[in-house]
Amino acid sequence: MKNNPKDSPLCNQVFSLPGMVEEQVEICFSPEQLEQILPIKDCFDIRKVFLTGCGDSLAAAGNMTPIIEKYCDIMSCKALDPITFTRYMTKSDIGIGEPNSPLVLSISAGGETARVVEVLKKASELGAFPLVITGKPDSTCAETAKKAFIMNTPKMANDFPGLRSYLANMIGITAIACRLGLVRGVLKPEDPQNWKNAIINYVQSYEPVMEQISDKILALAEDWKDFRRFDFIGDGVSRNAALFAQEKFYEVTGSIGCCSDSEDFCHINYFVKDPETVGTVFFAYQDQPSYSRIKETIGSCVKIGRPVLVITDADDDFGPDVTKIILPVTPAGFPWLRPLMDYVPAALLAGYIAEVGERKYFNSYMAHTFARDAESKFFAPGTLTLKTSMINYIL
Amino acid sequence: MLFRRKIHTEFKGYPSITQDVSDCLAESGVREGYCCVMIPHATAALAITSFWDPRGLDDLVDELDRNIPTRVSYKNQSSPYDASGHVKSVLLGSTALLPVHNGKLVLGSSQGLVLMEFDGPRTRDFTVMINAAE
Repeated sequence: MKNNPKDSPLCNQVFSLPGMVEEQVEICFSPEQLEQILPIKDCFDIRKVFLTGCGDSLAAAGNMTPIIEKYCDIMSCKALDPITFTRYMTKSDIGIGEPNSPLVLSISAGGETARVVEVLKKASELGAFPLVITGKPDSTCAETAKKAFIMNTPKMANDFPGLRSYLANMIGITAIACRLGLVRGVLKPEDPQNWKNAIINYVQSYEPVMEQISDKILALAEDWKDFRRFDFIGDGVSRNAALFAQEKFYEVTGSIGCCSDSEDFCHINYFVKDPETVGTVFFAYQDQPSYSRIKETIGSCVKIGRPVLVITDADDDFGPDVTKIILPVTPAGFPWLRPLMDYVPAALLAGYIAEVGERKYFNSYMAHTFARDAESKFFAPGTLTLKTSMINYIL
Repeated sequence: MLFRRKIHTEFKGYPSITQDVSDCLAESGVREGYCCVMIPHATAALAITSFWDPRGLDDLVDELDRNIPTRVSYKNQSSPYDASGHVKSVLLGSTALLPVHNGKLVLGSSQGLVLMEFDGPRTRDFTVMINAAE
């Protein structure tokens, strides 16, 4: 008997998000923890912020960069991949000489990613402020960083590959932005509570529509289950949702995926052979400055026969051949909440395609039993180097 | 008779609550007695001072900031404004006890009640207890 696709590790995590958010917000916005990792003096030392992490951690970082830029009264904030930070940026590229700055905010849920350890070591040696967001207080990352912000994400069985940790990391960055903004006098004393309420209410606003989204995505997964190539298109901050979707498709379906924006897509990916076999996912929101361009690109895809899913907050009609998922709108004044949940449909699609297409997670794991294929070469000792890669940074 | 009122403050604002307290007194119907006003917050205070020249209130805020500045070295690490606000609040106090005579607060001709906001903007409460004399 086939497994129920809705009862899969990735999809179960998606369904659990509205239920976990309140506890996660309380953990992340705990004044005791925030004051311990970011004392007032350290908050004022920070001139610039670098956000970094590997895989979906980089997407989380990119999603939350705008709120640090807007609310923390700093010179600049940039999300970048760890190897650029450690191997390609010099001391003068990174800082301007003040002690304890820039804040190098690194994310590693498991805390053992070698490249993130490398970031933290380099930041320490430069006299910057290496701070790690992690789920593991006794990890190498936590021990290497000046301070570790522990997520203590509520436990759930079979939370693999990490999706709850993705939401937790974004809430963690939000809490840090709120702390900096409050201490540096940008935010009002009541704002931390307002932010907490806004995050909880927005994530929970998915609960009433989750089943509807899930049913529509499951039907689409049946149509797309044999596809081996996918494109994910998002502009601006939504590029990070596209990146996250791409990553989940690699992880749980083993398919090729590519993330791009609505302009670059037209110059490059548009021309791929056999367009009718390439699942094409758009993130299209009315308030995006490039919304008109996104709509043009959707129209082009339909005309060349691409199967299209549009994740949107708009009532616009994209045509009868397009599957449309409408997300809850963000409340006024809180546009930055959207990335906390806009990956939900794409994550469900990855999970359902893995189930109905009988794919193995990471090409190695039976999703329901978590039994690793004994002959899998992907996790053979000495082959996968995420944790064992040589630490080697330039100053 | 206990009254609870709310007021929205600005950052480092100093709104008068004299009229609000007088309204509570009128509502109580008490002609002779005492009126106790209390600010139940740790980063705000209650002061009795003159409103004739508002620059005097600016001076008050400036002198408090000069003597108890927002700085990074407080042991309270909530925020610089919160930490210094706690100290200012204690030094100024949170209560005032006023005589009531002929149904009116007994205050000097230029005096009024001012809520001193050391953080903000935020919504603040204040309570007014009015007791009739035996």
